[in-house]
Amino acid sequence: MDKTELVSRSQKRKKKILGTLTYIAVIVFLIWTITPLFVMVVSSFKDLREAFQIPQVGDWKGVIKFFQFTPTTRHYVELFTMEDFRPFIINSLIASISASIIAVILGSLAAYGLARGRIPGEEHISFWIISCRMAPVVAVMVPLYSIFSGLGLLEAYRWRNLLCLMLAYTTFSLPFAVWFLRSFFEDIPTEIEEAAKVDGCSNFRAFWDIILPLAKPGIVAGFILCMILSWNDFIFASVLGQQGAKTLPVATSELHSTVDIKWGRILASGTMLCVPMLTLGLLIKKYLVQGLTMGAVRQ
Amino acid sequence: MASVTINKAWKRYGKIEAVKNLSLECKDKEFLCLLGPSGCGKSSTLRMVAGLEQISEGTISIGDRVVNELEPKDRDVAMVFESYALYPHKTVFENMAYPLRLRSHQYSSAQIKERVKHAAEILEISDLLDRMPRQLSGGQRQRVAIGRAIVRDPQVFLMDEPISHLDAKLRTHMRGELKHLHKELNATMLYVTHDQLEAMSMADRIAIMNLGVLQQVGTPDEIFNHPVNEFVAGFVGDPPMNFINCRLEVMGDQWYLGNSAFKIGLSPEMRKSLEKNGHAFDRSLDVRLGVRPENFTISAKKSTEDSFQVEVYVTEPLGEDMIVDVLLQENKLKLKTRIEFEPKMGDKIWLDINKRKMHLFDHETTKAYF
Repeated sequence: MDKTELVSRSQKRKKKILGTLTYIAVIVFLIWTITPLFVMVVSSFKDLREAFQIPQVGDWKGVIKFFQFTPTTRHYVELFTMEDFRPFIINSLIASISASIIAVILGSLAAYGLARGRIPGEEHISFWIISCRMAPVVAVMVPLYSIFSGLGLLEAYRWRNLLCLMLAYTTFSLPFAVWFLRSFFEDIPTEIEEAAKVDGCSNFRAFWDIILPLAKPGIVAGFILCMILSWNDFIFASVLGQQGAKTLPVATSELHSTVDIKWGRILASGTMLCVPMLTLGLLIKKYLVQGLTMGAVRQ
Repeated sequence: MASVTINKAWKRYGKIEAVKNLSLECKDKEFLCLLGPSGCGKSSTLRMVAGLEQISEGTISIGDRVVNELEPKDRDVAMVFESYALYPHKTVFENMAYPLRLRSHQYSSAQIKERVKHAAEILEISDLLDRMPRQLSGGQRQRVAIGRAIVRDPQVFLMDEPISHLDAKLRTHMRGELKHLHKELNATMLYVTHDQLEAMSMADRIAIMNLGVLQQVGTPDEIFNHPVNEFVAGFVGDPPMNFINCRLEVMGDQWYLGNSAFKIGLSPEMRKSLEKNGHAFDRSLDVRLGVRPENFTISAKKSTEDSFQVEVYVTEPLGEDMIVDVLLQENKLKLKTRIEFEPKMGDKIWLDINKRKMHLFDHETTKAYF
């Protein structure tokens, strides 16, 4: 066997080992992240006694007991009949959907401007916008509380509190939307827009007729991402939502009180909190990668 | 249709001057080519006419309207882009109909359909109207882009290297098609290209630019046979013109051109041309001799007193022609001859220059004496 063949074989072996290690790491990561969610979802359909039947440490055969249960929707029913969760779900939906709509509408306009406009200090403006998203929420909580209080939005009226939440969610969704959508607009060749202008479009008409339809996948993905961010929020909702517009995460946290832990209802509520957004995330995962890696390779 | 007049136009990108003091007219119904290497300012000029770039100084008029402040949509121009710029989410029909739909007050749906179909017939793309751009070949996309321009019947057509991305065979075919289209539409066309063959074969007149400066405007014949400077002479022609450093010697009544490798006498007509340029020529002068590859006569032995010997460096057969690279001291010259002549590397051959077709350039200013 000559030297070239030996080197080639050794490189192939190295590649194989690396590939195997990568797969192992991914599997471990998947198990680490998916297992708690899986346990929560399955347990939410179990009677509490069955849910707490945990096998002994080292008893791997006992894992099969996890899958031996009689499904029940009792906890879900109790959430709506005894805990009256319906308004909280509606509050979460209204606040997150409306904030996402505002963020995407304003964000797409800003992102388009940053992508196309020859604005002095453009990169600094972009960085400043996205740095707002990176700031910890607690840093803005006090000033926001003060502003909303001054506007009367913290009084215990549902629609005022919802408006307050919507505005609060927009403060972190909007910068994200601008950052995310900018890469989609940059990916659309400027010649297409120029052709539209020569054909007879004004700037806005070119944006509306030509650019927006082409950026639709990114806009839908951006909307869903903003929704996920807002839907999952706890801190704004717990401080600013007050009692007038309690959302699902806050209501779920209140199922754990000092006198009682309603495990079944917590599991059901957690499932209702996570599953819709996980599903939406799976739907848009292709556009997530596209948005995060756009511009990495020059066409 | 209308003329396009560019008057003392400048285009600056910060400190960079892409177009410098350009004055040029594309006459009504004329096919004018803007020709030059990359970065010469030809595309910037076209984009200023289209309104896609703001003019820094000067004026641009379409017909008798100064259009400096007008938006692209108000200039009544149509443009074909290098990358075609078709709308990916619209069918071919909708791509071509879109400019008319934007003017829905002028055209009814029936008229739009009629105009699109007519344009499609001219361009032989009637069977592609329901397709999306991604389903088309490069040549088909290019014709759709042209179709989108012609449906509107604009005052001026602007074309920015529309066939540069096609393969060589298709480019050759489209050169003829575009020239035919120009005649058929009787249109004013401003065409940008870096390919001198495209310009020479299609244009009524050519405007050559370099580094933002207009070098020469003229018919293909004028550009090819009467270049005003070395840049124009060397840019047009394939293979390009040969340049040889030499010296103009005046010895009484006799004028000679040459260097240590060769010496040729100048005719009385050439002397008149030089004197017409205002040169006294009572002394020797460093000049650059320009001779196109096809303007050498090659023979195995010395045939005239002006013949000079060179050594064959390499031969390049090109179908019916043969390109022969030869060495004349430190100069490497390209000759174009018939394929039957096939010298070997290292052979010594004799050359004569066709004096009626040679050019002389000032060594410092590079301007042509003749």
